[in-house]
Amino acid sequence: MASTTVPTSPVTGSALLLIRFITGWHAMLALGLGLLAWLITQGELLQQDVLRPVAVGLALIGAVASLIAAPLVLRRDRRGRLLSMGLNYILAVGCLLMLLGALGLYTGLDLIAERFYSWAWLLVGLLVGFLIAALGDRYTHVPTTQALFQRMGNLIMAATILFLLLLMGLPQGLLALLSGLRTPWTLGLLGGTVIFGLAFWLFWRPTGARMFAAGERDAEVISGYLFIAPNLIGFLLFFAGPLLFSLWLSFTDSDSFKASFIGLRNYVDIFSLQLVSVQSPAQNANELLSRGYLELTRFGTLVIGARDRIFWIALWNTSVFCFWVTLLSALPALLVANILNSKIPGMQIFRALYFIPSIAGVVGVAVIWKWLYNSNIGFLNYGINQIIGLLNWLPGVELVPVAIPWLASQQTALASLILMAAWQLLGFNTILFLAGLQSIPGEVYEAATIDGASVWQRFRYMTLPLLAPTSFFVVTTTLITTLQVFSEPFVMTPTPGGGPNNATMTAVLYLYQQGFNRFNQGYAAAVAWVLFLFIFAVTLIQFRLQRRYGEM
Amino acid sequence: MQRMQRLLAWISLMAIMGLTLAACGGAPAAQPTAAPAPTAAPAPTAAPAPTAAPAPTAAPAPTAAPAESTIRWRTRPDNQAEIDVYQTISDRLDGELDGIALVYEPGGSEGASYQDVLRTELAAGTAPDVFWIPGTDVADFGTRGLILDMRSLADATDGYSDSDFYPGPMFHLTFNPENGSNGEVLWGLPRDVSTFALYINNDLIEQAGAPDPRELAAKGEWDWDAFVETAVAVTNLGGDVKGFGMNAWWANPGLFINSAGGGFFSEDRTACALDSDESIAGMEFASRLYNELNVAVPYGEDSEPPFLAGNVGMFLNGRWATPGTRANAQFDWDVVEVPAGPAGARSWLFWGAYVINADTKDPEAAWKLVQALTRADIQGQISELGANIPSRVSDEAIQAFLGFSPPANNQAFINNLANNPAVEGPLWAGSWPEFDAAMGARMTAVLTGAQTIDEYRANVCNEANQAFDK
Repeated sequence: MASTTVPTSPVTGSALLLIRFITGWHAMLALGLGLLAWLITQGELLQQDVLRPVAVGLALIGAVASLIAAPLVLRRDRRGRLLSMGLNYILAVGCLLMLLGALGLYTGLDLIAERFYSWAWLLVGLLVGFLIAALGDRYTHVPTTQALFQRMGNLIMAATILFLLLLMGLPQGLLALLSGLRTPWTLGLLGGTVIFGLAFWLFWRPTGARMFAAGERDAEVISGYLFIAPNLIGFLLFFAGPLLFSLWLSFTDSDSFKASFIGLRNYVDIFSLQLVSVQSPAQNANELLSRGYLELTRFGTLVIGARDRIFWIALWNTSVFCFWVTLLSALPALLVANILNSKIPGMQIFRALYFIPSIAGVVGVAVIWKWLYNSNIGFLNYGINQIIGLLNWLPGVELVPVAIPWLASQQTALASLILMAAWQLLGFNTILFLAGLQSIPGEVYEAATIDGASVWQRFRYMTLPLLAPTSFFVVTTTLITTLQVFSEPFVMTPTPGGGPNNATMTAVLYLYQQGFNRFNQGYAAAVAWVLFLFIFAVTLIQFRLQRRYGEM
Repeated sequence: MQRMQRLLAWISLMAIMGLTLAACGGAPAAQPTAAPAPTAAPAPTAAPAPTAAPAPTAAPAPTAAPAESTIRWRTRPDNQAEIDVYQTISDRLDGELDGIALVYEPGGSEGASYQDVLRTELAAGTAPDVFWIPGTDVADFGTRGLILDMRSLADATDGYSDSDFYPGPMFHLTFNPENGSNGEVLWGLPRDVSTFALYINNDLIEQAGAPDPRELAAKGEWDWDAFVETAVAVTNLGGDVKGFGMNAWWANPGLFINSAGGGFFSEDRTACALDSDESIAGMEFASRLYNELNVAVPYGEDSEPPFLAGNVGMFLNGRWATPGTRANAQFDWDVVEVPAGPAGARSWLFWGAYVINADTKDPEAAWKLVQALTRADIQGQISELGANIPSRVSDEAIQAFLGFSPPANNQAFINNLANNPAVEGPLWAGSWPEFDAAMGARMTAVLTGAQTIDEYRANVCNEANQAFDK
C-alpha cells in the first residue's frame, strides 16, 4: 500500500534548530551510552558480574542505534525519525521504570498486596457507591433525582478510594517520594525520563512529522507500536529478555553472583560420553573410565560412561514419564469422551467430575497422592489388602498382605508418579476430545449407520480420522507438558533429590537442583536449553507425522 | 452517560496514581514494634548470665549514630508456635537494642526450600541482614563471600568469647579456608544444636514384651543387638506395625556409619571415606534392618506419620521432632539414647548458625542482633518450646531445655551430646550438595534393596569424590 506523504515543510529557523539539536543530542547520547558501557565494564556501576555483559551489550546497541539515527535525522530521513523516536521512547520508559524501582514502588506494591486482605472490606464501599449511582438510571425521567443518585454514588466511591489510599499510606508515600527524589541517582533518572520523553514528543507531534514529510502510514505505524508498547515491553522484559539471558548464562560458569565466559564447556560436559569394554559383567567399569566419567549403562560388556550421569538418567526418566503419561491420559480420555458424548441423563455431572482433577493445583494433588501412596498408612495399600482379605475367604487362597513402598522403591516410584499425572491430565484431555467429537456432524454417523457400518467401523473409519486434529493437539500439548514435569517429583519424592536412586529425577528437577541447590546457574541454563531443543525436536517430529497422517 | 464515564475514568486514574504514590512509601508497618507485652518477658530464671551478655557499649560502633537502623532477620521455624516465639523475641529485642528496628521474617519450613529461596534472594540482593543457615552451608556461603566475617566485630566486643559455644560448631564457624587455621575468622554464631535420639512408643514395646530401652541404656546395655531385638519384637506384633523408622536423609544412615567407627570423609575432610571397612559395617547393619530383618518402614517413606499413628516402635529423629510428637502422639512415648555400635553410641551434633549478609548496610547493628539472639536467656526461651538445644555452653540454658517435658528423658539428648558426637559440618574443600546427592542416591539404593552392599562399596566413593573436583 502506497503511503500518503505530506510535503516536506520548508525548513524554518526553529525547525532547523530542532533538527540540529536532535542530531547533536543523538551524537551525545551515543557518546554517553558508549561511556556507560565502558564504565560498566570497569565494574563501576554494576555490582553483579552476571548482568554486566548484558548491560554492556544493551548500552552498545543503544549507542550504535543513536549513532545511526544522528545523520539520518540531519538528512530529515523518515527512518531517522522512527529510530530516534523508538530509542528515546525506550530510554524514557527505561528511566521511568528504574526511577519507580529506586523509589521503592515495586517492593511497596508487594507490601500493599500482602496487607490488602485487611482492607478488603472497604471494597464494599465501592460496591455501594456503584449501586447507588446505577440506581439513578431508574430515574431517567427525573433528571435531578438521577443526577443526585449519581453524585452520591460517585462521592461514596471517591471517598472509599481516598480512605483506602490513606490506609495504604498515601501521605507517607508522598513524603517518601519527596525525600527519595533528593538523591542524585533518582534525580538523574527523573531528568532522563523527562529529557527522553521530551525528545520523543518533539518528533511525535504533527510539527515534527511534517519536518520529515511523514505520512499517514508512518503515523499508523507509530500509533500501532505505541498501542502494543506496554505488552511488547512486558514481553521483552519478562520473556524474551530472560530467555536470551539464560542462553548467555549457558555459556558461562555463573553461580548467580559472578560469571566468566567459558564457551561451550557446559554443553560439552553435558554431552560427554565414553565407551569402554569390560572383561566380565562383574567388573567395575568406573575403574576403566577416565577421571570424571561414571558408568551410565552397559550392554553386555560394552559400557557407556558419562561425565554427567545424572543428566542422562533425568532425560531418560523424563522420556519414560512423557511416553506413559501421554499414552495413559490420551487413550482413556478418548474412551471417556465417547461415553460422555452420549445423551444419557446426568452426563453433565460426569463431565464436571472428570474435569475437577485438571483444575486442582498440582502441588495439592501431589501431597494427597503422597499420603495415598504411603506404604504403612496409605489408602492404596489399605485397599489392596482389603481385597486380599476378601480373596482369602475363597478356599485354597492364602495371599499375604502387602506393604508396597510405592514412592520409596526404585521399581515403583516413577510408575507412581506416572499414574498420578495421567489421572490428573485425563479430565482435560477428555474435554478436548469431547469438543472434537461434538464438532463432528451427526448426519455423518446417521448415513454410516444406514449403510450398515458397525459401532467399531464407525469409530475406526469415521471418528478417529475426523478427530485427527484434536488428537494431534492433545498429544502435542500433553507431550510438552510432561516433558517439563517438575512438581510431582519435587513434592512426592523430595529427599534426596530425585527419589530412590534418582528414579524420579527429571530434567527440570535436575536443572532446578543445579541452579538453586548448587549455585550452578550457568550449567542449569545449559541443561534448560538442551531440554528446550529436545522438546522442540519432539514437537517437530509430531508435526511431521501429523502432516503425513493428514495427507493419507 | 458520557459524563459519568468520564468521571469514572478520572476516579480510576486518581486511584492508580494514588496507589503508585502510596506504594512509594511502602505499606504502613504491620504493627508497632513497641515494648513487648509483659507476658512475653522471660521467666526470671532465664535472665541473661552476666558473663554471657555482651556489653552494648563495647560494640565497635564509631559510626553508631543515633539514627534508627532497620535490620531484617530470618530463621527457619518448624511450626507456627516457633514463629510466634521468634516474633516475640524480635519484638523484645527491638525494644532492648537502642537505635535498631527489627523486622522478623519467618522463613519457610524444611519442605519449603528455605535455602533455595535464600540463595535466590542473595543473588537478587534482597536477602535479610541476618539469617540462619544450616551448618553444612557455611562453607558454601563463606567462600562465595555471601556472609560477613564477624571476627573484627567480635574482637572489639567485651565479653564475647568463642568458647562460650560448643566447640564442634565453632570449629567450622572459625575455620579459615585460605590457610586452614581456626580463630582468624568468624562466620556466624550457632543458633542451637541438636542430636539424634530414638523416639520410642512405650506401649508397643511393652506389648511386644521387649525390655525398656531406657532401662537398658541406663545399664549400658543399649547396643545394636538390643536395638535389633526390640525392633524384631515390635515388628512381630504383626499388621502394619514396624519396629523402626527413619527418614531418607543422609544423617540417618550416617548415624550407623558413625557408630560403627566410620565416617563420610577422610580425617582432613578432603576425600570420601564411605567405602572404609567401618563405614561399610555401618551401612551393612542399616541394610540388614531393611532388607534382611524387614523391621523398618521402607526407606524413602516418611516414617513420622506412621510413628505418630502408633505403628512404629522406634523412630530416629532430632530434637526438632519433639513439638510434633507432643502435639500428635496419642500413646505413651519418650526418647532414648541412640544404640551403641562397635564404636559406641555416636550421634550427630547438628547445628545451624546466624550469619550476617555480606551486603548488610549496618554490620554493627547486625552483629548486635546476632549476639542478642544467641544470649543464654533468649536460647532458653526458644528451648522452652522443645525443638532446640541451646548452642551456648551454659547450665542455665541446659536447665531450661531439661525442664521441657514430655519427653521425660530429655537427658538422652544431652547424653548423646556429651558422647563424642560426629559434628555436622560443611565441606571446605568440595561441594556438599554434590557429595550429598551422590551419597544419598547410593545409600537409598542399598537401603531399598536395589543394590548390594558390594556394588555400593565399589561405586559410592567414585561418585562422591567428584564433589571434591568442583
